[in-house]
Amino acid sequence: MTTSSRRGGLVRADDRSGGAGEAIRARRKGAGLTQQTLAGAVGVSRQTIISMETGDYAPSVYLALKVARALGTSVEALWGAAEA
Amino acid sequence: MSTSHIGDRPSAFDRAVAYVLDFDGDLYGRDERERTRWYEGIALAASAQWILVPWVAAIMIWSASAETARAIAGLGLAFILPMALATIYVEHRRVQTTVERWTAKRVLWSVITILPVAVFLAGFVRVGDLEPSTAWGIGAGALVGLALAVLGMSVRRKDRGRPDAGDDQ
Repeated sequence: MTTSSRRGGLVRADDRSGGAGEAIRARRKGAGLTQQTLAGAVGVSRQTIISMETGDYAPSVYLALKVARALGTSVEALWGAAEA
Repeated sequence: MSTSHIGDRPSAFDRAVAYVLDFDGDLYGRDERERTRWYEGIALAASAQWILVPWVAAIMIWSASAETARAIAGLGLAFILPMALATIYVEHRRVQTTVERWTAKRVLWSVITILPVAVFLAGFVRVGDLEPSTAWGIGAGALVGLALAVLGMSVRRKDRGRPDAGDDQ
């Protein structure tokens, strides 16, 4: 998860680069899952999956773990690139 | 969503907060993102109210009768006191509320929110049909309150530098 802001603040976690979102989308499609199916698997709304895939929302570590497990991968594989 | 208490047993305050914030329900959305967005929306609304309500009261008071002035003052207290809960709550959840830097934005925000209270008090003293001693009491109370707030902030800023109990540094 990235922390972005002007002047190096601490406030808003997001993924403006879209790296994590792209990774989630690719893994989801690779696993043959729809956004709705993935949402059901991790217990969130479809809009939340869309927000993660578009980089509008960086999940908590708990939700990130659920997403990674549902997609058969690791948190690092999904969000590690966004952090770099 | 997470539980709200710190330590083994939730206090009455923790239980009240958990009930109001409906941590295990869907009053504030169906998942963590929706809850976050609800909190942002509510904070935005509270910020707008924090500016609008005192200014409206500060303007209204000057054309109010003594009776209406007291009613506006009552509403003002009913508005401000619950707002203090925000500070109490975040401090309870280990958020430091002492001011680290007086940025231009913070100064502007403070002026915008404190000034209407001063204007309101001045108006209240003028139209409230008060005894002179009561008027002086209100003025002195406001000044003492402000001084205590500044003093408290200064003391807490000094305390912040001290290591917590159990710190291994």
